[in-house]
Amino acid sequence: MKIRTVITFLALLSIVLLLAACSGAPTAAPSEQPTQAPAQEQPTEAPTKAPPTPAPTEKPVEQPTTAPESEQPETITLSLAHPVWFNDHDWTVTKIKEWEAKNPGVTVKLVELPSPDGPYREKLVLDLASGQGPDIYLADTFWFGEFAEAGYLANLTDYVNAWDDWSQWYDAAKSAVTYKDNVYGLNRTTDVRPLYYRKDLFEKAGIATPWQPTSWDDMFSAAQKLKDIGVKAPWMVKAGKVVGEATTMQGFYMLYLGCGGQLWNPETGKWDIGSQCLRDTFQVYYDLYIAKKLGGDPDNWLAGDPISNYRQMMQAGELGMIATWNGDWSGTFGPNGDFPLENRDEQLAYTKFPAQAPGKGIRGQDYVTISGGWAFVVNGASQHVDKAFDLLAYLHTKDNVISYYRDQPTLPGGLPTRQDVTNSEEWQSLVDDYMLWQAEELVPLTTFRPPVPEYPKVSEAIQSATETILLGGSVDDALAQYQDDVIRIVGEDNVTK
Amino acid sequence: MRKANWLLLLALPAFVLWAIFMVGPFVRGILMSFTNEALVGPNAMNVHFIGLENYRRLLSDADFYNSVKVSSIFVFGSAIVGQVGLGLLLAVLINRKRKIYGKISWAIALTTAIVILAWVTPAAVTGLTWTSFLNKYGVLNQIIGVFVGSEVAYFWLAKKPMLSIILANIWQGTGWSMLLLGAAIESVPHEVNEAAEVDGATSWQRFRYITLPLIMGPILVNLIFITIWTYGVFEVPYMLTKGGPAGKTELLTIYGYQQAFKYFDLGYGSTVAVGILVITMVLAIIYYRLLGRQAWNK
Repeated sequence: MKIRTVITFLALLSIVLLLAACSGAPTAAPSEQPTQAPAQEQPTEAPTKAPPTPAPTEKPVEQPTTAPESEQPETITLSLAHPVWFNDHDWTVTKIKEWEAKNPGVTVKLVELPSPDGPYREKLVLDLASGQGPDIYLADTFWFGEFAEAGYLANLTDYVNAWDDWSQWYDAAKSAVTYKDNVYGLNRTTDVRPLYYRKDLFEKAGIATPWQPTSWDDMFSAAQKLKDIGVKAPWMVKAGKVVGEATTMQGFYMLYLGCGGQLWNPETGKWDIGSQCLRDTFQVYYDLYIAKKLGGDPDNWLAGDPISNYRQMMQAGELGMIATWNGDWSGTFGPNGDFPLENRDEQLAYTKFPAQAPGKGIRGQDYVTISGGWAFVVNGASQHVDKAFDLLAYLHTKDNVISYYRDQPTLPGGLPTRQDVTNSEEWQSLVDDYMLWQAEELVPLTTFRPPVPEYPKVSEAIQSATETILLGGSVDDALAQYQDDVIRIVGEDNVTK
Repeated sequence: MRKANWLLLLALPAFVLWAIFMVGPFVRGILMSFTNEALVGPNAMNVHFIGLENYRRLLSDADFYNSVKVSSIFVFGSAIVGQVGLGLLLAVLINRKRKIYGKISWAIALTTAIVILAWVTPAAVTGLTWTSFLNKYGVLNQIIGVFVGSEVAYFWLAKKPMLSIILANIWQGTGWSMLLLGAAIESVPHEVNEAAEVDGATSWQRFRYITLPLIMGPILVNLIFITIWTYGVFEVPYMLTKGGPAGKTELLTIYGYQQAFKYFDLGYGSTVAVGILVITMVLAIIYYRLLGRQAWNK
């Protein structure tokens, strides 16, 4: 009797397991982690992933490559991703060939991981965790905290300090690749966020162009005028969870910085969950999408492909203005873009995004923007950090950064992070007015996201709160939800109410 | 005795494979649910057992309860009502023993082919198809537009997310129930039906008192399968709504996936997976009991 029960139970369990496995549910162990030696002590800043190389920090910089290493040809695996913006693959291949010619015995194998950001990160992390990761890879700078703590980033501080060119890097760019005082990568480029507006629609609504709003009120009144002439979505602010980080960077942050908001205080290590600025920011979402209905249908951000949707709306003249990534100017709306405007320079214009009111922005600024950008990094478990850094340095010499803008079929969207490049006549003659404008007007205003491992999760909480408003929730609802989420993520002691 | 040993030996390779690919990951998954294992952040370098911490978190996690609710609605709507109900209806309609069969055999063949086609279509294709079908300017709205005579731009995926994923799952999964129950209906002895007909039973009475009791076993077995399957469904709903908006379609599988592969919190993701296992086990036991009683009644 009892045996039968046991057998029946086991049989049922097997059936459940089998069926669950068949239906593709992530029920069981997804990946093995061979190098997961349970660390005895808390990891320090130096990522020391169990067996491979000694911690990069301890490595003397000038250390010549050891004898056995130089005798046998080594293979460096360079993995390159193709998010939508990353179209400099061919240029990179050319430069790698040049570098290989200077480094006999070293072969670089390109491993391309195709995909947009989310799946790319997923594939990358699984590879890195299994010890199969590439020696060099591209990473979004806001992953640095989580990745460095996990030992996926080699500490390059000593390498860059011994590299003369590093002094040419903009400080803001340096801070984007720095986590806890250690440098972990070289910025490929950086980006900024302007405000785009449809010049032709503004003129039709009786607003003089070129237009430069100086407060949120200016933007609301322009949006109202656009609505009066029948523009479907006068002013869109990116929102919701579907577009992920774009909501935080290009929607939330552009407003939040404008009322002087500081999401994470580097001195106290505390997160803002209750400031007036936070409330004001969510209030703009509420006014736009719910109270005044100036942001178009909130559903636009809730499902499907909202990014293509707003681009299409901009192209069709249904969208008045939006703050978004600087690369949209040519990559999306330019003649070779995905949603080209017939006569872009007549129809579309860019301008600085204003603070809530003049002087109210972060650091007392009148205008605000924020930068992110991707960087080349070296795997913390790499056996060839010296060679890997040498290749990275080569890709980022002054000549090569200029070549990056000169020798590609279309002008890249990102901004260089070297002062000697942006100050050079050659670079200035290569790029268009738009890029020069960004370098002069926006780069000095820019800010960066908190370089801490909790940031991606807090960012998710922000996206979630804006989604609550899109669905008709009040500002209080959104704030309460955000507070709960952030306390759960960082703990009660690490928040400022 | 010798023969039995031989048989065991022959089954050994299958057992080894089963142990490696089913039991191994299963045990690893359970163990992982007692750790803080993560792939990013400080925990990635400092994996250790944390006892019941993940389970404590699970039981006080409002998002988890939301997912249990969402998954249960999804299972009830798309599996129990949708797939089994519609599958049974289709199975009755396509029964070869119906008198009308000869006249409409082409329609039956066509229906069967369409339903099975939906069932064998890969989930990725189904997901894309339904996304474009339900989009704001998608096929469904255009069809409705023809009838109401004006442009319709109703965003189904945002306004009716649960209905959307339920419909897509019914569309995808009904073929299985239709096949299984169709075979069961055809195995009902014809004589019994004929005798009842002679006695003056209406077609509804024949179905209710003869066919249905005779196929109760297969229906229950089907329910076990479909319920467990549907608690494990991930691909199509994920492609349609990604669990949104605001968690309205965040199935247990989507929630677990996000914990494990978006936040790379493998420990907690495994705990959610164990939660799914427990729920499906409980349901399987209930069904199994019903099945036992059913067999007893016979």
